[in-house]
Amino acid sequence: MKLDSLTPPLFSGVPECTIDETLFQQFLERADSDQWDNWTLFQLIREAEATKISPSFDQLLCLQHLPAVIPYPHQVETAKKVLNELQGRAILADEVGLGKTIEAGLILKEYMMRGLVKKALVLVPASLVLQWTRELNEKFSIGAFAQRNEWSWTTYNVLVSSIDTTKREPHRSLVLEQDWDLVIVDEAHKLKNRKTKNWELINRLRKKYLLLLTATPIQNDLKELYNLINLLKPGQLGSAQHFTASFIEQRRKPKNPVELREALSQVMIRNKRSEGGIYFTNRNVTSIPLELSVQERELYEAVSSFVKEEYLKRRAEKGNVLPLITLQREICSSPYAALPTLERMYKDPKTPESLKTRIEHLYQMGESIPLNEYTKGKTVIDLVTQTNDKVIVFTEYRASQEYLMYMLEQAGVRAIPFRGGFGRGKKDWMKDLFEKRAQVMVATEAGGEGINLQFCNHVINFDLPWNPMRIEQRIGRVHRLGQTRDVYVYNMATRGTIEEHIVNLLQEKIRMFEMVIGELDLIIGKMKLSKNIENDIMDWIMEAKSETELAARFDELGQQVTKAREDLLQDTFPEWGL
Amino acid sequence: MDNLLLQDFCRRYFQATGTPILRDESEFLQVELPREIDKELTDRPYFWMWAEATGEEVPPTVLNIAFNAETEVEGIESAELVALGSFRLEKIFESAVKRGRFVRVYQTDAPTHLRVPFLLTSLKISYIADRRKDEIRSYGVNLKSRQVIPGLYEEILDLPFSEELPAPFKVHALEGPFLKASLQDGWRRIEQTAMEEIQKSDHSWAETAQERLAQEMEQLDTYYQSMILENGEEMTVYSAERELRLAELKWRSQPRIQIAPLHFGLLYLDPVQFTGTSPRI
Repeated sequence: MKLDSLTPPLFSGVPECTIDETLFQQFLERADSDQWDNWTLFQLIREAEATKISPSFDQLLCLQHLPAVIPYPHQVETAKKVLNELQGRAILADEVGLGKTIEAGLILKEYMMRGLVKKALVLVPASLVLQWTRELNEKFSIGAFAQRNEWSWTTYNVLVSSIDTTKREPHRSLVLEQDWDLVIVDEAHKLKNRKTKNWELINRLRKKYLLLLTATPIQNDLKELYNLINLLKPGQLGSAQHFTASFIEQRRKPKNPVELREALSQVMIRNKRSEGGIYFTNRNVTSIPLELSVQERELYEAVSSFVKEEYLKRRAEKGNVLPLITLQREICSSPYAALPTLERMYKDPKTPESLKTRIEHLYQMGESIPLNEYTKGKTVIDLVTQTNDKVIVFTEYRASQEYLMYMLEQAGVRAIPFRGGFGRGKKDWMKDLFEKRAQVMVATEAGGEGINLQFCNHVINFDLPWNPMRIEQRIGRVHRLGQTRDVYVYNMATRGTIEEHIVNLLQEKIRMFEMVIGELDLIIGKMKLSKNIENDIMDWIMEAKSETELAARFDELGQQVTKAREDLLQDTFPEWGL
Repeated sequence: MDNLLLQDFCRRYFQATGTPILRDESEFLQVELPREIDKELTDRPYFWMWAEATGEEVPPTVLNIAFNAETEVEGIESAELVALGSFRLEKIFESAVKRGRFVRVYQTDAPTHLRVPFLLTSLKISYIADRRKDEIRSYGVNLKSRQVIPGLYEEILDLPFSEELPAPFKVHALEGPFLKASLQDGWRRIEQTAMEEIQKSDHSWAETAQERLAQEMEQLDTYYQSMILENGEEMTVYSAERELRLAELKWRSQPRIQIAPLHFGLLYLDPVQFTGTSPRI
């Protein structure tokens, strides 16, 4: 049914009733041509349709039609509430990690099965378009398409698009011309300001149902919440003046929390970890201090001082410092990891002859350390063999991965490698092998959404990325909804190396391993941390005149994160009595 | 539809479409898809365009279907899980719809040898506001006596039928325009009966929906009026937005009933057995 085709409300008890005549006309044509279908199939139509009808207004129909996903009770409850009590216009404000995407998917699927939604638009940040598209297809068997060009708008019924693209012409006009049965906006806190193009776009869209997904419906100001709600149900919180007068004490403090909460419950659902029924296991983090052998120590020092000298020189000349950063990080991982980079530097025609001797020397130093004598490697193998369970070992480098695969094989441990470059099918296959056939997975990639390894609860960080988000992604592969056991994380911390600083920063100063799932995401967002935190850290390491100075730098970063974390906690509802 | 019914459903689909079942085991089917069925179940139109343009010999697709994720079958590397909501089952549903909506069949048992034409249909009746409830009801009509028989589908379901008129049965035949006219008349009678039944049923759901709609419309009105008062602006600033919100609201919440037939059958039945006085099931 289209928006414009509605007749004015007629009412005398019995609502308007229409019968579709087209099928009968086709039947008459068949009778004319004497062409008939199969009697069994005739019956199957009715049996098939019986699986799709909604026998009652309020039971979810879609739950029996989701072979690829088992939603959690709070997700099912949320979907039901949105369908039955909030009339399909709601803010889904679960804390991060509780599966807002699943809730939105359930609601979309249910509406589609009930024939209430045919055309749906999912607006998400550009980086999430493909992930949303895939999840809707794989988990919900919803034929969703990623928006590609201006023809997409009219070609597909379920479209996933970036909000930034959508608000630009020619897309904007095309989107506004259509009637959308359901619009879903992910990261909806981007709609908090009613003077923005984002807000205006959603306000102008013609839509029947609307879901706004955000973990932080209020970031700085209660008015933000008011603006979100006015997209859903204008007037739900009264007029702007009424809202200010009755609900705002201060910018971030509500006046009548109980009343406000009551009004909000008509448009917003927020599940929290602290509430019962949502079960996350514990996360135990251990750092394992390592002492390098004399030979390893010499190599580490030699490479580090080479990197430092060259780094400062090249930076002054505005030269390329990237290989040096890589080398510094590789040597923290393992000697074997540094060898390919040293080799490339040696062979690079731009490398001056004077340096080549030194690089060659470093290479020989690295090569002369036998693989089975790497302190870190031996420690990891011991740890794996003592753990009588599945373990995932993460490293940043292909060379370290090859090294670990070799060492595990030598130790008689069944291991499989996992890389970012694997295609979708191969990833699933590897995951399967890990689950059924191997004890260890050695992975170089943590990102790559969609691979969930909840059957494993031991994570070893062979080396640590310098960007905390990447560590969170690693752990997130195993520590998520659906993990039934406590998760154990082991960090290798080699004494007297940068690695020790990084472990110390993450574990002691930021205490990031204690954060709840997804929290770091918000903190980093809040801090507006530079995208190149790796480079920043490298600068500190290179510029530091002493260990104490470097430690002070790390302290400072730790304090910034702590501060952002505190601010964030203040932003969230418990503090507001909501 | 539980798992066993689903297996039975698929088996009957493949048999009815002439799809060879190569293996039929507990919670497992292996089938070889004839080209026409392949086209309907595998969703690869470009492949078929290419195959038919180039005249390429395409070996038939063999589908391994498991009805349980844990099913393991000897000699089968991997089988595809078919369950409610899975892609393949949706395709099977669509294919059944495409191939089974219109039938003509003859009842082959019963004491008398006279067969009278009946029109049979199943109606999906949907009660819609911002939520929705459906039911399926069947109706038949004796095209000779013009009597409507609610629930006819359930009554004839287990009887034997043939798609050709078997000897020694005799048919009360309606030819050409007479058949068409009586079918139209029959359909009108079914529509009328269905409408009457619906009128008499409980519509409290619609009243609730209508009340809520009225409340929400009032809330919108109050909101926009106060916005105009507070901001001292003209109604025109908000009028387009207000109209849009009101239209969306009605679109979403206005109660209505939609009736969609699922299939139609021209059935030749023993007239004595099926009369309007039969109890409804």
